[in-house]
Order: sequence, then structure tokens, then C-alpha cells
Amino acid sequence: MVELRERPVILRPATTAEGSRCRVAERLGLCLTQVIARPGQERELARILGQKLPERPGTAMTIGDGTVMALRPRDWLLVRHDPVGRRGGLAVDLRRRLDGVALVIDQSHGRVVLRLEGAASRSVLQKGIDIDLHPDQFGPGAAAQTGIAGMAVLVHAVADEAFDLYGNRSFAESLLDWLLEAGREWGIVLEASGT
Amino acid sequence: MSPDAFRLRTGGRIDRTSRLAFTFDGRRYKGLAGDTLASALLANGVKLFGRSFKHHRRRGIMGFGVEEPNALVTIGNGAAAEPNTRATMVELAEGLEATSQNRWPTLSLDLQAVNGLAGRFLGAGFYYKTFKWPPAAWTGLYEKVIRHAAGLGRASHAADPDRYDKSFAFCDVLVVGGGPAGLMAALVAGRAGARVTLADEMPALGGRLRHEDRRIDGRGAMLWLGEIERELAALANVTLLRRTTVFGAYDHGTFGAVEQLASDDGRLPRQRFWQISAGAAVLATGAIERSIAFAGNDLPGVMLASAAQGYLFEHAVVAGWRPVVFTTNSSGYATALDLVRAGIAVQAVIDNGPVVDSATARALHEAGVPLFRHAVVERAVGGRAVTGVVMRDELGGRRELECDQLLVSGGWNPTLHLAAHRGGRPRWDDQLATFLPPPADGELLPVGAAAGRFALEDCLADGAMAAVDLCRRLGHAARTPTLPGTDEAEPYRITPLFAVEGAGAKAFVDLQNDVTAADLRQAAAEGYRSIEHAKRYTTLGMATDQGKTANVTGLAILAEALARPVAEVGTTGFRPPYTPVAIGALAHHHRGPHFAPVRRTPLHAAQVVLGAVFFETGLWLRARYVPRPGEDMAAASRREVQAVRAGVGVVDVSPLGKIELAGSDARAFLERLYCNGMATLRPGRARYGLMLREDGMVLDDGTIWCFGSGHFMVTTTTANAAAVLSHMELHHQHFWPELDVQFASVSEQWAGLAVAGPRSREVLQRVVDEPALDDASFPFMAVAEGRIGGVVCRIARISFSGERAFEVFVPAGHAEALLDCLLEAGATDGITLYGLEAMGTMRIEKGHVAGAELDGRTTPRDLGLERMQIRKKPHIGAALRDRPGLTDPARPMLVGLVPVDRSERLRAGALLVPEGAEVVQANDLGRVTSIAWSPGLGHPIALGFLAHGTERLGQRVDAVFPLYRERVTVEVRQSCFVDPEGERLRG
Repeated sequence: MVELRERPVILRPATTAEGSRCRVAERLGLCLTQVIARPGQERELARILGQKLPERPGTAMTIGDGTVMALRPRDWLLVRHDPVGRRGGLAVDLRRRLDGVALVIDQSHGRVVLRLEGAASRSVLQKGIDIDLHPDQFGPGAAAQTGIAGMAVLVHAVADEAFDLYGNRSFAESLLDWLLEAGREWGIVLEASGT
Repeated sequence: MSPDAFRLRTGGRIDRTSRLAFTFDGRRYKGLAGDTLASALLANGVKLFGRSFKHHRRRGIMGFGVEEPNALVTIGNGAAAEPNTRATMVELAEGLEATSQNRWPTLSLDLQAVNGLAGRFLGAGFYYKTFKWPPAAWTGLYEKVIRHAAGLGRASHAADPDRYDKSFAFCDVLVVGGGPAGLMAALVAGRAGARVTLADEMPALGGRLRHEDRRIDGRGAMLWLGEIERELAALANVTLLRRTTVFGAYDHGTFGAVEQLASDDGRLPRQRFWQISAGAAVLATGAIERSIAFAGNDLPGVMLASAAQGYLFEHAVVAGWRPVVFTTNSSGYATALDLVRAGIAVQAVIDNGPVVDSATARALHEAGVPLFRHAVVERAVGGRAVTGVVMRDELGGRRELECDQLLVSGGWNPTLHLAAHRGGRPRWDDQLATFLPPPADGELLPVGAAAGRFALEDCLADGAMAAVDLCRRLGHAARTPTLPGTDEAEPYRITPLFAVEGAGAKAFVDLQNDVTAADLRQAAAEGYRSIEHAKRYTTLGMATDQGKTANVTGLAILAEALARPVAEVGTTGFRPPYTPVAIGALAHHHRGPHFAPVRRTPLHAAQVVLGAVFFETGLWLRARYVPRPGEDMAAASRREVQAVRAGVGVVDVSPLGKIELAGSDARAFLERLYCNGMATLRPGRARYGLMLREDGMVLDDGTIWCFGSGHFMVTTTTANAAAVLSHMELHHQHFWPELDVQFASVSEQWAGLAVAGPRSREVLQRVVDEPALDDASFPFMAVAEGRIGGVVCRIARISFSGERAFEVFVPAGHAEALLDCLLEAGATDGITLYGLEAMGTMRIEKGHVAGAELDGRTTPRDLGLERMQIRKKPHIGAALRDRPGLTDPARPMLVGLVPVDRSERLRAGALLVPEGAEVVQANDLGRVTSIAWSPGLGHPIALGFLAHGTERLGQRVDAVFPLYRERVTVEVRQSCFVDPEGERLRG
């Protein structure tokens, strides 16, 4: 029997800069599961999952060590931390439990998740995102499906000065290139991937 | 000449301790920190800044800021050279290099100045008239001569080394302009808690406050300004953008702006393009002084009166020690008085208006400055620069006055551009003899001078009241502040005068485009009635300054020539940008490798290591071929094809679109989307599917994988992945929301490899734990969810190459490991990694259609797939597929083509015509879409669409490519060149 190891999306050495006001790193070990409820099954879905789900697209809820983000009506992205190697396990489990209630899709491998942190992180993002990121408008907990320089991005404000960007895996290098260029004036650094 | 020959010993906002060296046309000069290139050169006594566009006349500095029409220079050299830069807007820096433009060989000796003598041939519309006859001379002679003679600076052909940047910005209130009106607006809105962005094009805030000697609240205006600036800077909700020009107003409160950034900080870009979304905007853009058309009004030394004030107060620079002031309005008196107070010997003030008793006039009189009323300057006199003026009084008496500078004020024009960008037409005001902004346009309020309210107290009041009004509308509790008090000033009065009658020599209106008052009168005489036409005919206002000092004057002259009121003639349309914007700023970082984002497959890095050569297909970077040492593309892809046909090969197919669907109506949904039947597709099987547009043309093709009665995955072509998903979303959300179907793209989740060739099953089975891939349990078109090394995978026995083949998908993070395993497992079978070139060759050999054939103009019948359509079932495209045009038997249909002379090459895009026939519409039989060199057959092959294709099998037609004068005779074949029975596929 062969073994199929998994590799992170970003394979670049970490960088340093003096007076850096912004840093970016790939988040590893996340299990991303998209759940699309059948019409009228939203309550049942929440019951089986044992948790309330955010209703308005563009909002996120923190549950335990995970997050649920509303993507579209009846469509959610569940983000859980999972040890590497068991990724997709949640989807397998949920698919069984939600049979007849919702379509369950593992998206863990389809996305790159970049954590952007630091005093300048908001300014860096505002260079590419055409929605108002002012803390009054897009404070911690806010999430939006938007785009940066022609790349689809789901942005989630996790704290005052920290954002998670969910980009398509194929755009990972371009998205990182964009962030490093946009953050240059604030000495952005790439940190080692982490969980 | 001394660097301070024209600088006063005191005053100005320059740093006299900080000397900066710079060059102009190679000559060394010195200026001071705080100078602009214009003020530094004026301080050095430089009068000649450039040559005019058409007539190559000597030109000096006319203005102080963005309105400058003459002093266009090139800054820097080599790749960084920036042509057509206004010297008035360049902040002086150590080592700055500036060069004059449009002169040959040098600025002071310009041989093309003879154009001035031939001027009568270069009048209005000369360009159109020139190109009338003979046509042969257009490009050969006229164009070359005109292009050499007329022109601005030359752009460097090298890549721009500067970096540009873009940012979005959001605010409640955007204040455009940091003069007194803008400052008050920002202050009131900022205090009310609104998010305010204040943008000003100059390095320092204050606007006209900086260029006049005024008092606010009993102290010098600059003290007041300093306090306001400090308060604004301390407000967290106020953003100050200096050196930022708001160049355009667009719909929905969107504005474009460009910010100039410090050039000495390597981390910073040179310019930043701001896209600003504002709840409301205050237009405090001020006003620009205009000149008057009289003979010689373009001589170096003729300057706008307001510019002289600017240089005096900002830089302590005077361009002349003995100026004459020619004014139509009260502001010329203020200029004269400011100069007198600075110790300048003003020779005379010439006013076309009646005697008005005012404090300013009295002060000038007391200072001994002669005042001439009811008089005009008929002509400025001088060779290299102004040396005097010819004044004419109301009785026609002429008198010559000596001077070394002529300051002109023709009145003030509100800077209303942004207010008119969305189509509103400015209104003429007789009292002010100028245009005012169109009536308030949504949440965009012109205030102060921009609204024609020139008095300082009006500016302060307007700004404050506009902010209160807008803040309240936006829900912020703004309080009306106590307005600051101002000193007494003369109210604005003007006796309109646009052109001085009886001027013999050229009286210029648009200095940058060399348009004279006579040109405008000529246009009127030649029948130009509409201002839009006359503008294009004369090129009035069409230069880089867009006629900031010229347009209103030009309109007035044209109106007079047409004997119509100015209000009726109106203005031309105002369009962004207000001032020139570097293309680099609009492109910002989208250049070079970042022109567009790049998509890489999960196997990109692995294929780089394996030596693959990549190419761009859409946004994707894909492996085209994988050469061994010494191989070119032809050799490598030929070897790759042979390896697949004889043994086994593997290719990255990750970019295929993949959409997962579930729900009790998922099958019904697919039935409606595809034109062929999905009703009988059983779990564990795949089917080819053809999707039509509503008009009956093919949208896309792919495969439908059935995992359970209500669980499918469909693949799309790479190019149409997003379009097919949108197509599905539209139909589900809008037309058939009642269908119980859920779907989402899984394209990025699953990486894919196609394993193809007679040995594919053996090799693949070595790595796949389940399912078993033998023919009996996993025949052609079987699919299964299986496992590889404990990882879930999806496998189908599907073929694009025509060989026995499998598509295997794994979660993207495992793709590299899977490729490694396959290459290792297949090593003894000579497994070969192949690229898109080999894949394309094999599909052409098989006659499979792809992007070149599915180009949105072809029907299933054209593609030879008509039998797939189920005629009875309703599906998208069914209603329109039987239109006569689409069922015409003469419609070109898919055929194979082979050159009769096997050594000749074919070209995709070639037209098909009868053998030996002329290439004319009547002979059109179709086109060649895809070409390849077939390793199996040993000669070129092609796919194409040919009228009556099936009837022409075995016949000959010509494939012609007129661009290269190519004609190749080809034989018509079936579209499938290899294994038409599909034995290899199923075997």
C-alpha cells in the first residue's frame, strides 16, 4: 500500500524586515467543510450539528475552537482545527450524519488560509478589497466573500488587527505575492506556516 | 545670474538655509527647499521654459499650479523620464534633472520657430485640411512632418522603474480642496464625528489663503491655518491626503484620486491611486484665474496676476521688478497692492472697467501707482520677453509703457470640473461673467469659490454650512460653528473682457494648443455652430491642461463671433481626469508578472522539478511538454504521444471544472441542463454530456459522474468552469428554485491526473487500494469513490486520448504524492509525464472537440453530435436549436483534413475554399480550427468545419491563409483519424 503524504500550499522561506507592522502566515491543519442544507432543513441541520448557525451571509460565529461562516442562504462553511492527516475526516463524518439533510463537501484542500496580522493589516487589505474594512463596519466576527486583484477571497476579521483570508488554492502564490507587494511599505514579513 | 536674482530678502515659506542643486537643459542652478521647479527657475531669472505646440513660440511661466499651460518639462532621464510635467507642480529636490520640450535643436535656438511665419497655414482645422489631398502624401510626408514639428515631450520606451499602488477608501464626507472652504467643511464634519477625507493637490493645505495677505479672527491667516491643521490632524476620524488630486467624480459617490508620495523612501510607491467611496462630497476646489486674448499675450513675462501673488507669498520670488497689471476685475488691484507692499515698483494698473472708489485703489494711488481706467493692453511688446505694453484708452489713444512683466487678470472661473463629470451642464452667470457648477448633483456640494462665492467670509461660511447639512443628512449631529471673522476686503466686481479688439498679431486663447482668438473666429466663419464641433476643429481646450485658463475665454469669443449669448453656446462636456494621470497609477501593481493573477495546479511545483515547460492558458499556468535534454517541443510531445499510445502516460488535468451536486431533484436538474439523456445514468457510471445555451449553441461539454441516485459530480472544460457554475446558479436560483438540488464547485478541492495508455490499468492498480480496475468490475465509463493509501479518491474510466485511460482525483494536498507514486509504480512500464501539447495532439487524432471547436458558434449538428440530443425531453437550447439557420444543411460541419502534400504545414484559422478558387465571400466553405502533427500517421492533420462536409469526404479543398499568402490543398477525411471503432478505448 502506498502512502500519500500531504504538503502545505505555501513553500517559501520566512522573511524578516525591520520595523515590520504586518505579518502573514499560512494556517495549517484546518478542516473546511461546506454544508448546503436542503430547503426547509435548516433547523434540522442546526439540531444535528448541535449549534446555532449564523443566518445573514457575511457573518461568522465562533464555536469552540472553530468558526462557522454563512456563505449564501442555506450555505455554510465550517472551519475546525484538525490534526494534519485527518483532514476531510469531519466531512466523512458529517456526510453520514447529515444524509438527506444537507450536501456536505470537504473543501480543506481547495483553499489556502492566510492569517494577516499587525497594525497595518487593515490598510494592506484595503488596497485590494472594495468593501469598507473600518472597524465600525467590519469589526471582529465580520466575514465577507469578496475579491482581491481578480482573485476570489473570503475575508474573516478574527480580531481588531487580524484577518483570515480564504483563497482558492490555485491562486495561493498570486495572493501571497499580492499581499507581500501591498504590505511592502509597512515592512510585511512572511512567517513560517503554523497551526 | 545669481540664484536669488529674483528673490526677495525676506518672506516666503522656503528654507533659506537649505540649498538644492538641480539642472534645467543641462545647466546647473540652485534653489531652496520649499521651491517648485518653476519658482526656483524664476528666482534664477529664467524666463524661457518651453516652445509652443504648433508655432514653436517662446513661452514662459503663466500660472502657479495645475493650470499652467506653458511650462511642460521632462523630469528625469532614461527609463524614469516623465514627460509633460508642469514645472509649477514639481517640488524641487536635490539633483533634480529637468529638460525643456518641443524644441530642436535647443530651447533658445529653435529652427522650427519658422512655423510661426507660416502660421496662416496652421490655422483652425489645418490638420483636416492638410489630409484632404493627395492621399499618398498622408503617411509618407505630412504625418512625419507634423509629428516632428508639433508635439509634447517624448515618452521613454523603456519600462517605467517606478512602483504604483492602489487603495480603496471609504468616508462619510469627502472634502476636495484644502482652502478656507474645504478646511471649514472638514473641521465641522470632523468635529461631528463623521469619517472625513480631505484631499488637496498641493503639498501644503490652505489654498488661496497662502497667496493673499488676509486676517482671520484678528490674526494672520497662516496662524489660523496652523491651528485648524493641528486640530484636523488630531481627529482620528479625519484623513488628510496632501499632494492628492481628485481627478474624477463617478456614479454612486465614487471618486478617483492620485496621491504623489515621497520619492526618497524606497518602500513607498511613487504614486497611489485612490478609489474613494464617499457618502457625500464637498467640492471646495476654488477657482482659476483666466487670461485675456490680446496680441503678444504669450510672450515670456506675461503671467496670471494670481500666480505672481503665489510666487511672492510662497517663495518670495518675483518674476519682474517693474510689472504692469492688466485687469478686468477687483482681484488685479489686490495683486498690485501686495506687490507694492513687497517693495516692487508696479508701473501701472490698467483696468478696462469704470472708475471705482475702493480702499485698494486709494492705497495704490497713495503709493504712486498710475491707474488707467477704461483702458486695455492692446499688445505686449518684446523679443525674448516682455519689455513693454501698448495701452489703448477709451478714445483710441495709444501709449507705450515700459515694464519687465505683465500680470493679467481676466477674471475668475470656478473649478467646477468634478461637479460636471456626471453630465450636469454648468450655468452661465452674467454678474460674474463665468460658468457656475450645475445645480447640486446628489450628495455633491460645490462651496466657496468653486460655487462662484469668491469672498473669504463666504468660503468659510459655505464650507461650514455644507458640512452641517451633509452631516445631518448622514445622521451625524453637527453643530453650526461660530464662523471666524475676517478682515474687510473689496467685493469682487468684473467688467467682462475676453479679447481685445483690433489685435494684429496672434492673440492666444489656448496657449498649450496654440489656439488664437482668430482661429475661433475663423471656425465660426466656416460654419461651426456647436461648441463641441468648434472645440474639435480648433483643438481649443484639448491639450493636457484641458483649457483650464482658456476654455471660458474661448467660448466667449466664439459666442461673440456667432452673435449668440455665451449661456446659449454653453460649455463642452467635462470628463475625467481633471489633470493628467499616469497610466502606471491606473495599472498600479498590475504589470509584468502581476499583470493578472496566475493559477497554478497542485502539481505545479512537482512538474517544475520534473522539467516541464509551462505556458499560459487563460489564467492557468500549465505544463505544455516535458522535454528530455536536447528535445524541442515537437520532439518532446511526439515522444510523449508515442509513449501513451504504446505504453502509459500521465497528465495533470487538475484545472478541469468540477461541480458536486446532490438532492432529490439533482438528476432532473441535470436532465434540463444537458441536451443528452441523464435519466438512465446509473450509480457507478459516467456519461459524456453536452450543454447548450438558450440559443441552441454548444456551451460546454464534460462528464457526469453518478455516485448515487441523488449524488453527482460533473466536470466542465477548464475554460468554462466558472461560466458553467454561473449558468447552473442562474437556472436554479432564478428559473427553477423549486428543484431540490444543492451544488458547489469542488474544482480546487480535487487534483486530477489522467493515466492513459494500454498499460494504464496495470500501473494504476498498483497504487489504488480500491476499487478493482479490471475490465469486468470497472469497464469503460465506470466511476467509483475509492481509496489510495488511505486517502479518499474518485476514479473514472474515461478517455480523452482514445486509449484505455482513467481519470483519478485526490484531495489537492495529496496530488504530489500521488504523482510520485504513479511515476514510481510505472517506472518499469516506461510511464511518461506528458503535457498539454501531447494531450491536444491525441484529441485531434481522435477528433474530439475542444475549445477551438466549442467557440460559441457551433451546434451539436456542426460537431457531428446531433444524435446525442434527445429530441423529446425539454432542455436548455431545445426551443431554439431547430431554427432554419441552425439546421441549414450547408452549415459547415466537423471534418478531418490532411494536406495532399504531406510535407506542407497547416495553420489553425485558415479559410476553406474550393480548390484553386479565389478567396472571396462567395467561395467560403468553412475554416480550420485545430492542427497537429500526428506521430501515429506521420503527417499533419487538422480539424475544421466544412460546408457539406460529409458529402465532400475524399474530395479536395484549399486551406488558405491570406495574411501569410498561404494556400495548402487538403483532403477531406472523417474527423477521427485513429481507432475510429474505439477498440483501444474499450480493450
